[in-house]
Amino acid sequence: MATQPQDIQELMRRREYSAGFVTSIESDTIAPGLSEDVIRLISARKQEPEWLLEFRLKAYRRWLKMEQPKWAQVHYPPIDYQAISYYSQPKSHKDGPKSLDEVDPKLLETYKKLGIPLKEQEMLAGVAMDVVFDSVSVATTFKKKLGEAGVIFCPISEAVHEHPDLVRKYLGSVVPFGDNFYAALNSAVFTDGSFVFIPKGVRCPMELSTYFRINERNTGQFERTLIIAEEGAYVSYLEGCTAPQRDENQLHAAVVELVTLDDAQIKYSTVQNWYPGDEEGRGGIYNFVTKRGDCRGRRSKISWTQVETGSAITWKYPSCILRGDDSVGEFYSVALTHHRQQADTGTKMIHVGKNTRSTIVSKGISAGHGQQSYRGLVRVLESAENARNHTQCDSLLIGDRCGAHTFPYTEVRNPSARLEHEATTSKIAEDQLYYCRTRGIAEEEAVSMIVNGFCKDVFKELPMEFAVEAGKLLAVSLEGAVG
Amino acid sequence: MTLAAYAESFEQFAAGLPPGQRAARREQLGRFLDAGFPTPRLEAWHYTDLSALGARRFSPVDPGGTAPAVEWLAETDRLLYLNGRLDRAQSTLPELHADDSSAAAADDSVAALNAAFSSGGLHLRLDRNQRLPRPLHVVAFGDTAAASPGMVHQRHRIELAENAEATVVFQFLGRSAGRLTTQVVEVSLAAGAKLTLYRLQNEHDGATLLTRIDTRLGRDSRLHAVTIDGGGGLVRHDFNMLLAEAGAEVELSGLYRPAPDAHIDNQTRIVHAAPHCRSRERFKGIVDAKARAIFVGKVIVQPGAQKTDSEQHVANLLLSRRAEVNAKPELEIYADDVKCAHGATVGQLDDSALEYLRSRGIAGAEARALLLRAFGAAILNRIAIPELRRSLALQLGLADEEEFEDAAAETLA
Amino acid sequence: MLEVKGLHATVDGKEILKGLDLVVRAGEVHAIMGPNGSGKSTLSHVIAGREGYTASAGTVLFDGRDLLELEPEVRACEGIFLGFQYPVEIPGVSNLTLLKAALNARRKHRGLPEIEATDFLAWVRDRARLVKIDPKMLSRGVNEGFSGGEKKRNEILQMLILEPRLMILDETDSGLDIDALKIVADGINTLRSPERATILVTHYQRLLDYVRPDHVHVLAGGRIVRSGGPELALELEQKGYAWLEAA
Repeated sequence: MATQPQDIQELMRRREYSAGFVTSIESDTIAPGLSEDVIRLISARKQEPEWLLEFRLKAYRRWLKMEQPKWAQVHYPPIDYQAISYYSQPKSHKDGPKSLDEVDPKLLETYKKLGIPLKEQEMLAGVAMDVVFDSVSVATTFKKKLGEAGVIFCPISEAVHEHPDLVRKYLGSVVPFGDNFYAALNSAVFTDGSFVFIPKGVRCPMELSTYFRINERNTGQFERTLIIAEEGAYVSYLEGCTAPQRDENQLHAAVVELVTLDDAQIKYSTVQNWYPGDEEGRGGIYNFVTKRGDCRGRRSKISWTQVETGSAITWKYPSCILRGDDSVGEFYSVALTHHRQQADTGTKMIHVGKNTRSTIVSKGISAGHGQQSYRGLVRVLESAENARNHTQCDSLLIGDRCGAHTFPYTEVRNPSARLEHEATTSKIAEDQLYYCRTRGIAEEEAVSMIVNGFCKDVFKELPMEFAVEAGKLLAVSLEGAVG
Repeated sequence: MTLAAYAESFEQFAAGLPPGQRAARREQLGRFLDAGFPTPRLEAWHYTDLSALGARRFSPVDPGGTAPAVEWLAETDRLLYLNGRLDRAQSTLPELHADDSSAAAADDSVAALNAAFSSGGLHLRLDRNQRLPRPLHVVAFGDTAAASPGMVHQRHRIELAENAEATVVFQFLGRSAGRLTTQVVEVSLAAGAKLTLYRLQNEHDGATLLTRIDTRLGRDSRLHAVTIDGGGGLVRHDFNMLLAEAGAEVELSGLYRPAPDAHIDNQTRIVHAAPHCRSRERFKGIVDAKARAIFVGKVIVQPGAQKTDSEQHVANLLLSRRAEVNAKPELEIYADDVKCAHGATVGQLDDSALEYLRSRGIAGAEARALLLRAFGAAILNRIAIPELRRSLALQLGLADEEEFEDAAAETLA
Repeated sequence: MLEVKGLHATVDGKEILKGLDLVVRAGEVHAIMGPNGSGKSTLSHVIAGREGYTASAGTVLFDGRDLLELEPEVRACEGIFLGFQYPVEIPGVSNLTLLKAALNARRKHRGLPEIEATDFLAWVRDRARLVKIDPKMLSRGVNEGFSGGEKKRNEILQMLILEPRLMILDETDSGLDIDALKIVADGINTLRSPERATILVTHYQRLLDYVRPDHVHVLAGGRIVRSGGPELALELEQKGYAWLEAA
């Protein structure tokens, strides 16, 4: 017999998390807890220069005085910051692998399971990749080829030693150490992450990608990414994230800083699939991330594209400060929440320079008991002559226990600005499903097709091979959504 | 924050109250003194800072002022309040006034202040199937003669039983600066009741006005509300609409054109608590000079409020470099079978339209005025009393005799 | 091929079909005519399996199998195609995506491998020519921004591509100008064969000038009240339906 509409939820209920395995690998993990001593220890292990230790300590002292933000539409028990270990690295990594051949085979196996074959991938995908396992970067590929183009792509811990002037100049220049609670925490304890520098006039010859993986129990991941595109430079960068399936919650508090000088362009894409927790909301990653791009130069451009399907709680607002005249900021987002997942995500576009333009396209999908909020700010300062913004914000609901919320702030102080904001909320129409089914397409596939159609405007912004991945990820996440 | 002056004023005010009421009023005052005026740290007051009011001193009773020489609307009944006191001579239905104000515990400090000092107001209660034969015009006229400016706190109540119908117009006319006025309107609509409510304000541009309308809508009831702001210095309006039972419908329209230095903050909150309800919200603003305008519209669809149909739109014209517009149309949705849309725009007069008018020989200020009128007419035309519509258009600087005659003809047709 | 016996069906708790009998054999074209509200669309959707269209009594057999217990997509894979009176728009999902998924679902059902992309595109291009649809339109969302006539032609195109065995066309002719009507009729005639059957649900006899039916039935009050040959359609055209209801 024909299925009832409620069955949409039935299909949605069961969802397999294929990245949920644990790698049993010996790790060197410091005892849980946070103090100045712990920070000194992290800094010492990484043999950091004095200025960086100072940066960490200043951030830590500021953080002590700050309160966890409460304004987001997310609910979770208080986090015990003393119960988290702030540093964990695979033991075999202690002396640092010199090349991929020295990387622990178990690690390579881990990435293979995740569909990231580090070795073959050098030949096949043509994507340079940095891989961060718990607190440290374990492998960076294609270094040589990038080096020939003058591109620097390495773990930030390495950049601190190899390119101290660049790191010192830009670190914290977009997201200051005291910017917000989680950014301050990150500034105090960040362990690794990627550093990218594209010199003047260079178009990065390949996609750059970082893969983040949390493996250890009771650890947090606090990575820091810094990308600088000098005058006329271009880079497309993608990050992916997974974590094992565990019953307790784990904290991920990253900071990403992007800087574009005149005529430069950074395209930053995220496919976030941290463990979302189970059906009842047990476990899952708390994903509290600060991402900000600074269009410092004229005619520069920063595009954020994100596909957020994982994490128990997502709290992130990749933003653009459009400082340079004629600069452009873009934000394309697909966020999916189901079971007990919660997401409060969106963007900020701060128009400072003349003729600055921003585009926001946000697609939210809620199913099960998922709760999702779009929170966005478009601010046009007095100096921003002829600023333009277009915001499109759509929500799709699957089932009657989920929620979709929209909080768009618009603040305009220049009379030549033109801003448009549109938002709609709807459910997958029964007649669309029925139509597909009369064509022989099973309900589940039909839902996946309709959802992918709903997200099309965002997927087309992703690099080709990842757009396909994102579509599949969404389909997997929707498995069990209908039927 | 020093609120000492309010505590002192209260003693003076309470002396004039019937002894039986004093304790309840004092309790409300306590609530206000504890919380103080809201500051931007509260999300609901993000854009409006009242903390400066804390240090001010307002006289609780203000005997000054004379009745205005205004041409009253024809075919209309009237209650006239002079500085919060009913002018019986000029009111056609003085019996609708009620002194008592047995307000429930106020949920915010401004409401508590209002409840503590309330001098009552309209109490309209219609029985089943009863219809108010003519629109009721409730005028609050403010004019301080005394050296220290006064404050007026009014509380109105409208209760319509099943299928009752009424049109009520609240209008503020202020002639002097420095005053503080608060108003709370409580509306309860039973099944099938229909209320048309206009809230118009042309306060002095040095006055502070804080208002709030709380409405509960029963099954299949209708509220058609229009709010127009032409004056005021620091103005804040809160609209709380609860669509409590199936089939209820609210249509809320607003137009604001703040004075050159003014601050106008409209906050609307529409709660869909039952299935098959419908809400339509449309606000427009013309913001010039150093004015600051805020619109925050919140639509909440509660679990179970299936088949909700909601639309919300706010359009702002920002005409000066020193002016500011903040808009936030929010949706909070906890049901799945809903149709909700909202939109917000900030922009200027359409260049191509100006160009077109110029090609027809209409240029400069005249062309701009024409487009502004067209912009405002979309809201003004929702006021079904032609006389009132015309006078508002004049006050807002959006009048054009012919055009509004035409519009009126269209509305009546 | 299709055998409907004593079918009673309700929509939203209201009984629309009240004991309908109909037998359609392979190779036949049946026209079902009748006034608005007589139950024509309900019959189409009960056969296709729309949710909320519940058969309260009677049987519907397709190749001797009980059709009513199959999911709509299984019915489609078995060879039933419904051309919608109001084709649905699915923004963002391209026509090609839908067609490929539909075609492959059918192939999978029959244990065939998925179709090669090049073969698929060649097949679509060939069929699109028949209904004069610009293949470029097929990259757009399903029926998204299509005119009324384009939507109807798109239904026929889907039918031509999927090659069903039983075609049910629910008022596919309504709202079409004469050129579009001819295209639609050509599409139907292209598939006409001894192995296939067609049910044309229509209000007017116009389409029947181009697709000659073997049997014409008049549906009124949820029942077939008269059956005959093509001449019955002409009679209806002249006299209207009032005389039937009076009878």
